[in-house]
Amino acid sequence: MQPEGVVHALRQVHRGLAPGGILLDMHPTRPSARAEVGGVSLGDFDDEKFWETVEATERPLAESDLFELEQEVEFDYLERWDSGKQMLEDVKTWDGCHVPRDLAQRIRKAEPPVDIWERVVLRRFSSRSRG
Amino acid sequence: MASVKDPEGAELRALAEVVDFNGRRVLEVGCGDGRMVRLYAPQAAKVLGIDEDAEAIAEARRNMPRELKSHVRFRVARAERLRVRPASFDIAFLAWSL
Repeated sequence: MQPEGVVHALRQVHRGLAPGGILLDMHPTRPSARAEVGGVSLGDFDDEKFWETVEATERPLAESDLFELEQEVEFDYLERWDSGKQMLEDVKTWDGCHVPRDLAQRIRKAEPPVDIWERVVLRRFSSRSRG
Repeated sequence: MASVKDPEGAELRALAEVVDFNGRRVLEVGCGDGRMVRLYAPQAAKVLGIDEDAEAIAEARRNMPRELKSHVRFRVARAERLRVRPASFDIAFLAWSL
């Protein structure tokens, strides 16, 4: 979503929330996603373009006077494939994520299951009352 | 075969740390195939999941367990053009969606 779209979306969401309502925002955060097999790293993905998008889209929420940050937690999120080839096909569809060639080769040769670990942030905001 | 997402249940643990869905009316923006909805809907009073991807919404409807269908709805919609009654939800959830 473009940042202008986020602003509109936040207005609509705020309107739909009851007084004292809660907004939860959960998405990946740095560092870059990492491929692993059996707990051994195969390497990191190149997702700099993705972070640019994330930071541009989370800014309107951080700067919004509609919501106030109350709590933030981070956790590690695992996604597991039983085929490295399928993983590479799926990652191709991820916005702003590039698989370095040497990493792609290691993933193709890896004995499955093949994992991707991502760091995820979950933020809780309270809805500010309408003026 | 599709991947297995979050086999260790980290998302649900993190959610339980910051919010209680029990009896709440929840709006999920960008719900995709409803994977997250299925996690918390058993506790919620009402859930509306929206996504602009019509195929994902069709899948979300197909995947929803029968016992949740009475209080879970899905709609094809864009968040910035969302039309809901004012003050009709307690929680809005943007899950991997902004």
